[in-house]
Amino acid sequence: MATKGNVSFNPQGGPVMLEISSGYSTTGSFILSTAKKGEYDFHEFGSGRVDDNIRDFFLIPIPLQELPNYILVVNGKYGPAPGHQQIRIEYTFTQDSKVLSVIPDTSEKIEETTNEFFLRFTNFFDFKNGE
Amino acid sequence: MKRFLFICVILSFLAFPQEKEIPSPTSFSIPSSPAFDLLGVSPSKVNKPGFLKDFKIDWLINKSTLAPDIAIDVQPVWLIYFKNMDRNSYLNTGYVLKQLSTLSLSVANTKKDSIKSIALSVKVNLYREYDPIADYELIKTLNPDDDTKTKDILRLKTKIEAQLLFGSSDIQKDSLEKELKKYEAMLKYLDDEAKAEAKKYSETLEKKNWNKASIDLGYGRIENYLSGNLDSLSFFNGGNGLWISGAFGVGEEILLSGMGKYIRMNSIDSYFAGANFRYGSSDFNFFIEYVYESQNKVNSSIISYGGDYRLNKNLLIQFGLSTVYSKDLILKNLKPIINVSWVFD
Repeated sequence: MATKGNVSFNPQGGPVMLEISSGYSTTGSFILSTAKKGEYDFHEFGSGRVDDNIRDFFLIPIPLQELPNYILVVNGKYGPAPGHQQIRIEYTFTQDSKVLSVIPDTSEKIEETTNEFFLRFTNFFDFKNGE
Repeated sequence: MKRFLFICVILSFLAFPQEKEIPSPTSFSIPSSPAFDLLGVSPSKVNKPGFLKDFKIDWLINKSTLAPDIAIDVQPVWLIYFKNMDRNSYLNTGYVLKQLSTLSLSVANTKKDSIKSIALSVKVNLYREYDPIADYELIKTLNPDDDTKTKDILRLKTKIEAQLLFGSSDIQKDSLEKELKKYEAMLKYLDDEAKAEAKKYSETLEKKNWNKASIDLGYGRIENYLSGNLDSLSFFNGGNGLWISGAFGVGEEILLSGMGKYIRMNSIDSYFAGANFRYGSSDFNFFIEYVYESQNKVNSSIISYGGDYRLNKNLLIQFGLSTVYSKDLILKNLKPIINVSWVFD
């Protein structure tokens, strides 16, 4: 199931960053891609695993002036660790060390309970000038 | 007996829908109830080490009636503190706190030789050879990275989803939705294949790791009581017990375990020491064990035979036949016991 969130950023500020954090012993991987609106030709700019003890912190590789014309997607494949059933993932956008607001705020969080090895999640984000 | 079989069937039907694919510590081995171990009424007198995560109910049938001897086990530290912790924090937790996550509280009642007893015990795991959460190979196999083929389909699916969410005319919408369904089906097929592989790996791992080494330490309090009516409970004596138990595997089919237990009741000291040989798998195994008991300078030996039969991941039936011998090896008593364990995890 795909969700859509809108991120407000400051075009005069520093670069926009995305952090992927997990809870409840969530396991799995993610792929980050961007595409220009209208073209939808996605290019991967980052990937990783939430269970590997490495902080997942990414710079969004689009100039700030261009950002409102782009879509970012996180393709997540998450599952519970052994002995668990819960999945919890949070996508946090920051700029100049401040957390950016995302509307609706549910679009940046994944909370699920499952008995399956993994589930897939697609979270789209677009950007608007927050000034 | 008919009633027992009927209840087993009901229990198994209740337990089947809860069967999970994700392995948990109880997928490998279901430990015995610490409170039943303290009372000495488990089918196997040598405590079976291991730890749960959540709840377990044990129902002991050691007499001709179905009057319930019940034990309830719960892992409060795990449930309150560790259950919602992310994996990296769990792995970086220090030894003491991590072992505390295995702390098990257990309460049980029984009627033994016309004496009614209640026991409250606490057990903690001191060492375990295998912890599935720490097994990164297991985690990466259960939830693997996508291969190139899957990534290509995912990219095509994402493209259509983006078009549907960020702008498409009504005319385009129908054909895009049709195309999306096609890619969703392709992705599901590949995911189902990956999940089948994960399940196969998980089952192999459960078979390989059911007899991994483990050491448990337990302490408990026993109270004997008289109870005529509901409002006339009176405790008449009690005592404390302390035990340590350990186990290790030999190959994939043998589990050797041992225990030492000390109980002081009514100023009488009792010492128990025993060894258990178990052969089989996590689903079905047989055991034979020897326990030496010294109570108030009277020594006896208990030789038990029995096994575990696992109906599914949540339901285990343990059965045993205990034969008690005097120090001159004269058979003094013979007792069959059946224990039904139901794990809620």
